[in-house]
Amino acid sequence: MRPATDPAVPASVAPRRPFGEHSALGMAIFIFTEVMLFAGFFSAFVIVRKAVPEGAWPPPDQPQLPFERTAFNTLALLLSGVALFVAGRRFRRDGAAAAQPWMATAMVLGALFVALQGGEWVALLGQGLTLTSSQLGSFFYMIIGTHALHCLVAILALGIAWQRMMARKLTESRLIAVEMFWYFVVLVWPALYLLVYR
Amino acid sequence: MRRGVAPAALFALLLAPARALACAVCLNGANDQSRQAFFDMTMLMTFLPLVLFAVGFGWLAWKARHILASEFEDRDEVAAKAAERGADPIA
Repeated sequence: MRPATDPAVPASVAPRRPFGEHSALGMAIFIFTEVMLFAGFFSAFVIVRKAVPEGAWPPPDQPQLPFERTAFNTLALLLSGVALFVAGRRFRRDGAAAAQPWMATAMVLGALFVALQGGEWVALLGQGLTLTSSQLGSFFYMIIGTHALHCLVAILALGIAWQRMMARKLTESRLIAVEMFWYFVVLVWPALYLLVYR
Repeated sequence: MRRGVAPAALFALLLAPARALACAVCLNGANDQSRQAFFDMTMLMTFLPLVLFAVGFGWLAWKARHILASEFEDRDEVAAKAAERGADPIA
């Protein structure tokens, strides 16, 4: 095939459009594996939880997970997803300068979520809930810890994207990939929250 | 003769997993609720990847249809413009 810059090709022939954004496709495949990872956690937790007789959860001498207090953390994470959505729209419509404050807001809210979760973990460790203290502790730190690790990686990715945005080097495809990962982290949380904390 | 013993034993275990206590989570001390949960989660883990594949391939098919349709439109435009000029669009 002759390249579009070939003088023999009429100027009206547009270059072949890409089939899709490669970074978005790669991220979609990665998220597929992540969904299966969390589905495995979900499945194992439900089976173990249902095997415990009624009224015996949480196990004896183990603290009740702070459902109400974590609702605030959940709200912060959901709002960070909304902020990133607005940042993406602004970036496509008005450019990098308009998107920067929204992107920063998304990062700050995400970091707030991780910080609040960290504080909660410290309190729960103080109350005797550890990785080896019970099935609840094992599942809690494994599932919620894996999610927190994803949050940290996603915040790092957002930070790199924000830095590139400041330098006017951020491409739309990279932003889409980062957005997809953050939306996954945000949207998987309510399911984990309602499953583990309730 | 002996070579067939192991597969036969494995097959027998498949028919009677409770005897083998093959899964400590789903069969050891299980109640009706946990058996139901095991069944539900087996369904989830079986069908979730299929649903994800279906969504992914559906999206790719939609994208391909979208792009290919507009690609043919471009070629038609080129041919129409060439015809207006009286030129051969292939040349």
